[in-house]
Formats: sequence, C-alpha cells, structure tokens
Amino acid sequence: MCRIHRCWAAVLVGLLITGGVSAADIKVEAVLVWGTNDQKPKDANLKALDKAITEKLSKVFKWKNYFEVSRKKATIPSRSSSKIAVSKECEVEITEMEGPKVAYRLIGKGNPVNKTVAALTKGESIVIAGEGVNETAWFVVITETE
Amino acid sequence: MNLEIKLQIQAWLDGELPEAEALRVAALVKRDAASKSLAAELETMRAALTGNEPEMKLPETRDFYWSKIRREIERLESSGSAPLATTGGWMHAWRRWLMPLTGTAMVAVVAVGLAWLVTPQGQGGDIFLAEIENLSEDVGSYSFRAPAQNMLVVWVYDKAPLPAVDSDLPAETTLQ
Repeated sequence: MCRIHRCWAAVLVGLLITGGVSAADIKVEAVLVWGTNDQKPKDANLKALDKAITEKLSKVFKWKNYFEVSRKKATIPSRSSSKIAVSKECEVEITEMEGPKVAYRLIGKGNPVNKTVAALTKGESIVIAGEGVNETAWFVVITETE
Repeated sequence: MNLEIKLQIQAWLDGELPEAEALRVAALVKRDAASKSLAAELETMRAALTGNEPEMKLPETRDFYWSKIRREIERLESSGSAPLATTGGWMHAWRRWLMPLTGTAMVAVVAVGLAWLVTPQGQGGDIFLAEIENLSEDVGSYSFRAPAQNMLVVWVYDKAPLPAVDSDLPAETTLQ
C-alpha cells in the first residue's frame, strides 16, 4: 500500500510540474507600423522600423517604406488577459489561453473589431493589419519576446 | 463390480467404515470372488508400501542433530550479518527513492511527448489553424501564414467606405 501511495504521489508531482510549465505567463511586444510607398513624412512620432520587422513585412507586402509608430511591451499572466494600447484609439487585448493558444482581440476606438485565436511557433509574429487611405497600411506586429 | 463397491472395499480395509457397513462389506468379500480378489490385491499393495518405506536414521542423537543446525545458523548470522544488512539496506533505500523517481520520470516523458505533439514545435494538432472572428459587421478579414517570414497575418478590411481616423498616425493613415 505504501509503495502504491508513493507512486501516486510521484505521478501527482509530475503532473504538477508539467502543468506548471504549460501554464506560464507570456511576454509580448506589440509594434504599430505604418506602411507607405512615399518617403518618410515630417512626423516626429515616426521612427525608423527595425531591420528585422522591415525585412519580414517588405517580403510579404507591397509597400516600400515602413515606419514605427509605437512599441509596447506587456506580460500576459497565465489564463488572463491584458490590454496593450498601441495608439490612442487602437488597443490589442491579448489572452493567454489553455494549451499553446493565445487570443488577440483588436479594439479600435473602443469597439471590438477582430478576434484571432492562434498558436504561434517560437519567434513567430502575428501581424494584424489593414489598408489605410492613400494606399498606405497599418500593421500591429505582435511577437512573444520570451 | 462398480466403483462404489471398490471404494467401499478400500475403505473397509483402511478401517474407515462404520460397524454395520463394515460387516456388510466383509460378508460381500467372503461370498464374492471378485471382491475377495480386489481386497487381497489392495492388502498386498498396502503391505508392500508400508514394508518398504525408507527410514532415515540419524548418525547422532536427535537433540544433537538439531543443536548442530542451530549453531550453524547462529555462526552464519554473527559472521555475515553486518555486511549483508548494509548491502540490503542500501539497495532497499535506493529502491525506495528510485521507484517514485522512475514514476515521475515516466510521467514527465509522457507529458513532454504530448506537449511536443500539441505545441507548434511538434508540428502537430491544429497549430496551423487560426480561429478568426469578425467582431464588427463593418469589418471583414482573412488570414495567411508566411512561413519564411515566420508570420501569421490577419488582414482586416473595411466593408464600410469611411473608417475612423487615428490621430496618432499620420494624416493620410487610417487605423481600422
């Protein structure tokens, strides 16, 4: 009986350990990017976008130039949500879900616009994007940093 | 002669029958030749077995024989008990720890294997699927993966002609 109890205790410890690993906080970075075919406008808030994201976007999208509007970092607690305001009127609510999935809820002007639930591979980014006026585009690039 | 009568004759020879039954069987053996023959055969067999049973005789007295065994056991215990106990205890202690550890390791291996199958690194399950829901009637969307760029793209398009303008973006940019 004692041996059986020890084995069950070991099984429980193992499950707790593995359960603890899968239910971890996630750290993300959200970058709001503006894409245009024109040269950089005279806007002090715009920065040059880092090379890695520029290369990623330029190989997929048609725009020639990409500029960083804002960059925010956040930690999403396990099984919880956290909102990242990438601009005054645009927020992304990120929810760490069961398993490897994460939900991304795009909110524009306080109104929910889109919800995407996906499991990303390590280093993979989710890009929620749309077309702006005058053949420009906006991109919210979300990457898990750790 | 049936089997029952044969068994009765055997029991009669062994003295297992009650008196009345024994008298009845004895009378049967006396008057019936087959029964008499069987009784004689069984009697001969019993005599042969009991007469030829091997008898072991000790070369010394019974007490001395058992005292020798006891002394030998005591000698072995006093001379070899300490190392044996130490080895056995060490092994037992290791087994006590190793068994739960082995169980834990097995659970961990299974859990990691399952996690590998369902996580993106395992390339299993529905990792390439993305659930996309449009939360506004004015907005549509589609998604695609760009594996070379390590990106999942969700492209949101406006069904309505004039989206709101984000004041953080340049004047010509609209955030939907």
